[in-house]
Amino acid sequence: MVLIEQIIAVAVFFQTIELLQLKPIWSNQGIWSFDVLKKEYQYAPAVIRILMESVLKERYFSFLLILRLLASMIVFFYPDPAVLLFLLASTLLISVRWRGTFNGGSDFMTLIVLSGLSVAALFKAHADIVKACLWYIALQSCSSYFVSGITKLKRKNWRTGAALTGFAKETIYETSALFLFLEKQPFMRLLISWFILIFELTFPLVLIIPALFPFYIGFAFVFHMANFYVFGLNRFLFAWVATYPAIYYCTSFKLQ
Amino acid sequence: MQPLAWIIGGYFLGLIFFSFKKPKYFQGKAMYFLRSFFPSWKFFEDLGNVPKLFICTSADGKTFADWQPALPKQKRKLRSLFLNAEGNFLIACGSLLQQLESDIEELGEGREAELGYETSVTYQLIKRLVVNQISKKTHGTLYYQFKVVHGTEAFLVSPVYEV
Repeated sequence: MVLIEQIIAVAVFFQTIELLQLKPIWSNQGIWSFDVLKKEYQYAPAVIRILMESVLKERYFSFLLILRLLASMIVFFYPDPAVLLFLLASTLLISVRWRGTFNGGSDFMTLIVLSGLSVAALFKAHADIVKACLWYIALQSCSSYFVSGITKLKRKNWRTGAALTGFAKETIYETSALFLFLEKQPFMRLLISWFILIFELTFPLVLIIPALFPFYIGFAFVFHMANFYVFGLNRFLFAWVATYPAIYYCTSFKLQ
Repeated sequence: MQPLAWIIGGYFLGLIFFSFKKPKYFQGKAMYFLRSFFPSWKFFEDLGNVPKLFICTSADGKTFADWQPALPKQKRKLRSLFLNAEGNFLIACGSLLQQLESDIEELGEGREAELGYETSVTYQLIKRLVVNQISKKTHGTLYYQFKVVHGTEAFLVSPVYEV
């Protein structure tokens, strides 16, 4: 549990610094100005509107982020339930500020880990609840690979390997030499594509065959590093790595 | 086989079943804003042809420069593993364009629909994004226009705006 808390604290710390660095784009003069966003709350009940105004306006949002930064440091050393709950609430508010999510999957996983940890910290005297929270985090993590695998399997371009070079061109980065190489290597593309498909579809096996844990987690780490290299998804790496201790706990669980 | 293994197996079989069902999109703004609580994990579903934003500018409103990509590609840096503010900004812009595409699809065609999405928050955010990108690149621009392209087809071409 301590390891999960520490890794997610690091993840939240970096996420918050990034958001502070992006202040010019969410300030009053920026793109995601609250003055524009607040139109979406106009039909919400007055209480919600007041709450949003008092938390998400530029000045208060900066303050919220600074508090979140401090809270992440506190959680690293002292995972108090109140501080964990604050991290959970602030992550949710940030997602709302960005109209549901800022960074997609990494926000989802951060929320899952923080909700599991918050409930576990609130009920730490109840071993069964703590175990249930670990299972919740582990199952969500395994589901993320599995569902993503099914989604890919349904698409022909993933089964033929064409997807690999197709979407790699559409990223935020300049086309890399690796992808120029892959474009000329259809067999290599097919091999990598099926390797990813099989890895994702069989990932839940780690829960019932503990011996697979080091291989799957090792490959999952490489997979997230590749996603960072290709798509710039740095936040995903930290959010997912935070779930691995929970998977480890569940694989060690006696299947009796 | 132990009972827990059966439960785990059943859970993942359930996931297979639900992954073949049509996704139910979130009804209402409140649910939409809270969607991070209900992850779908369907990554890479929409990858391939992502919408792209192009801008063209003019000093007099008559002669326009060629269409230019509004969001330039970045160089990879190892340090962005920890802090990737610029990269995550570009990813957020990509999501914004996808949101516009889905807003337009929802509203259908016709002038009434056009008026609908031009006043939408998503459209306003994209307009601000365009102005933000223009101000980074050029000085002396007085007029601009933008378009959003999916594949080879532009699904939105804006009117000419004054900066």
